[in-house]
Amino acid sequence: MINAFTGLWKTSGYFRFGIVAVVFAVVMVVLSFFSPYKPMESYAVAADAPPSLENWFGTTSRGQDLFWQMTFALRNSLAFGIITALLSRIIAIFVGMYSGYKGGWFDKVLMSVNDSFVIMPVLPILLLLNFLLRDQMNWFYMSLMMALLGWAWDARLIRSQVLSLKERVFSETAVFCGMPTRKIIFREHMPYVLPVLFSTTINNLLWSIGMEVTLSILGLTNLNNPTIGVVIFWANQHQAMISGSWWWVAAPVIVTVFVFTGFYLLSVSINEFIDPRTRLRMKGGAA
Amino acid sequence: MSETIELLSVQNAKKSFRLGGILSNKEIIAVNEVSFSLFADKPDILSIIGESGSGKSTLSRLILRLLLPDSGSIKLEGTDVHAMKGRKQELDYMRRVQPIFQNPFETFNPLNRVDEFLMATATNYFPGEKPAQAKERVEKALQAVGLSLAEVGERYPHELSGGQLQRASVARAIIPNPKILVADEPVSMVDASLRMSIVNLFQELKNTMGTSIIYITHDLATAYYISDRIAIIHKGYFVEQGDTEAILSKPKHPYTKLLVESTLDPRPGATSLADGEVSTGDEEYLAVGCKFAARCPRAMDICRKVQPAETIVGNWKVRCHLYGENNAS
Amino acid sequence: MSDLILQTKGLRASYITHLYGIDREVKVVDGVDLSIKKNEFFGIAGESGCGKTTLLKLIAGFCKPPLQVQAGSVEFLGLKEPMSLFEATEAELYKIRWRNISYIMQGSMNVLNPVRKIFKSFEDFAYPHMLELTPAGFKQRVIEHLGNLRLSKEVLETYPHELSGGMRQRVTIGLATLCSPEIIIADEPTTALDVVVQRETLGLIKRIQKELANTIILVTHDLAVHANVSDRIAIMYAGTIVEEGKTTDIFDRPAHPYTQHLIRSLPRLGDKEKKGYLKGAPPNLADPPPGCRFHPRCPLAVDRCRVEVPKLELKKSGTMAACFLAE
Repeated sequence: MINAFTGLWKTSGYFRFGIVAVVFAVVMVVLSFFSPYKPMESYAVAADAPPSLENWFGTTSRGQDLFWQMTFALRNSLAFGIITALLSRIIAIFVGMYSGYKGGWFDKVLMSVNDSFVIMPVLPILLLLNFLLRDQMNWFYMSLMMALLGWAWDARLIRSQVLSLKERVFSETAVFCGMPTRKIIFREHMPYVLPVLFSTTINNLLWSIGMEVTLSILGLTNLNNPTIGVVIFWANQHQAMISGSWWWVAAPVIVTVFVFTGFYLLSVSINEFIDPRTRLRMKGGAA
Repeated sequence: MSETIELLSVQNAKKSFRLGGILSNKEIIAVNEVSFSLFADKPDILSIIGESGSGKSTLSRLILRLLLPDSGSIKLEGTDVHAMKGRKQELDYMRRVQPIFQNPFETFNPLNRVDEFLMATATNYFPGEKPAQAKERVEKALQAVGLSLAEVGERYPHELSGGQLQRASVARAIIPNPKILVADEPVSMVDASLRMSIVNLFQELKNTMGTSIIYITHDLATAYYISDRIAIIHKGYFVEQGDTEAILSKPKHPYTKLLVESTLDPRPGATSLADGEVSTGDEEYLAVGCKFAARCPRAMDICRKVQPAETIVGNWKVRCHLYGENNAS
Repeated sequence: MSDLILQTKGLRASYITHLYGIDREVKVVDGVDLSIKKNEFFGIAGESGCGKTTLLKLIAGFCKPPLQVQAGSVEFLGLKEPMSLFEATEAELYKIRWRNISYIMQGSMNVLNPVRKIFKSFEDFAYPHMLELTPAGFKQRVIEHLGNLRLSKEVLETYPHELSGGMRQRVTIGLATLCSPEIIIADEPTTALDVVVQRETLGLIKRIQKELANTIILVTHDLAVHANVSDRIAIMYAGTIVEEGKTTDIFDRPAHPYTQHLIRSLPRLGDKEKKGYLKGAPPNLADPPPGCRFHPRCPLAVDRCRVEVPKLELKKSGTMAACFLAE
């Protein structure tokens, strides 16, 4: 593993950038636990102050230090994104791998369900649900909803991978070893599915945070809990761009772009690395 | 003859596939009226010789129960394959019939260690045993093929040579003590200097473990070397079957004769290289009558109209009008 | 005027890869000297991983990374002046490709474009080298040529998948022989074919060599093929040539232990004698054994074999062998 890390670090610029972004995000999240201010607290500092040595990102019109607000925002947004990604991965793996392996009517039924989910327009549904259920909505329910809307496309990707793996000779050997289906799927096929899984995880993570930002900017989520989108919402509410407090919009936007780009480049570089073909070429064989 | 218990009994097995889309009615009968038996008290090495497109792969999949015959019967130790349903019976079948595939590098998962499949076979066919016992079984099987866990256990497939890996594949197949091994072109991808080690191994397995081996190949020379019985398959039909030495020294069916003539003799200039007509392919499958008639130097009118039946000539079976009931031979 | 058509001297080439900080060098051809004559059927035999396919690529002048030539030369002697293939420009190489040196590959489907009719493949490959003919003249030449190969002219209007494997291989041979080149390189041309078709195809190749009186370099691991078509054979092992000589000499009196073993282990119809096999396996070329590369598997190996690399020398038996113990 260490070799992998140093190998990647030396050779891939994408990887270096991605690691820097991850480190930055982790540092921010850790700092959020040491914040001198509470997330909801307002008018604790002078309002509308531009970035300075005291307030690194400046302050908001509600008298909050923007830097410490961003630590909370990043923490909450990332937590939301990670939970959504994990939940949707689990659904996608089970549906994709079992459907692909079993085939027959099992596959046909699941794929019909899958296709229905794929064509659902995500944003309008989320808007509708959030609008209707605003009072009962909390972050976990929203995460669950997003997971239910986000598994379908990736399940198909995983399924097509399994379809081709099923035809390979070693899948037949596995049957003759007496291996039950679940072992074949998870021990023989999973290593091949991992690159697809990994890239879709990061994509899913970024997609769900993006959705959250969109919904929050439109004011449809719980606006008291700071997330990246919520911060931008309040900035818009107080007409930050017009009133001159540009830092209130700039900080969340720049942080988001930096973290998103970093995560994406990280997934691209790691993906090439954990692709079975690359791993085997390194060891001297051929997949 | 009726006293000998049949280990594997194939009677008039037939398997066809549809060509083209749903609306097409072209059918290729890959295996047609195939009958042969393996006997329990007398382990045999039976070679099935066929070129590509002859149906030998379909036949091997039928014997491995990866496919079920459309008509006719295949019985293992008396039970018909159609009657075996459920996981337990499936495992029971595989315990007794194991495959050896052509390409050892495809047989194993390139991303997993070689001992993974070996240990899995040991634990799945002998449930309730401790891991140490399973390991012992694996070691024993590896020793039987001339390898050891120390040598190959922790390696990945590409770290071994083709010959070593194919032997590991044989080791995996013999762990459940199968009665039949179905080897489909097991040495065609192995280097020449290692090839005979695997071929010799099959003979050893028959002698020491009493395993019957179905050796499917297009290479007459190695088939001659190890098999007791031989069956020639052409476009789905067994055209000749019986004792290896007898058939290959004095072949009766024109196709067998052609195969024997075409096998290159590894002595300088020993084989005459005819530059005759070019052979054709799929049309033969859809031809009426004997499928070999188009290429046969002794084809008669009846050959182009009627498919010959299998008749017993001397002490082996031939499917040819030259030896049919109408002609004494 | 020399009777040689191609000569390699001290050829050394490796595959060099850098991946994620791991460098590997596979010495796939390690010191090969070949002198190939005009009007000869020259065979190169060896198992997988011995370097014969790479050697062919070098002879044909194909040398792209990760394959790198480290020493030695390949000279084509068919033109007025000897031409060193590694020092030639792309333009010079293009001129001799197909016209003077052509290639028959293993899988016919690798060569023929599946979505183009056969005649179009001829146009794509061969016409650029025969521009002195008019399009009609070219088509006529192709029809005559295929007739010589016993293929009817209807074949020109078919797609590759409509032909049988044997016919496709004939088309590939037709492509390679159309310009009557001085050297035809064939890489396992019959390995994928059925036994009956193989014999016909080999018969065809042998006839072509006699008619064109050119040189065919045939590479295959199947010694039975060499026994029946090659005039001279070179046996390769782990990147070097271990024995070379006339076919009859190699089969009757092989000098090198590896060759001796290979010949003895060939199965034959009518021969029930028990065949032996060699322990071990061909070496890993990224980390080859010191000295003679065959010594770990050689039943006759002595101390000298583990340290020194034997040179290819003429032995009493009539063949050239690289072994200290053969006389």
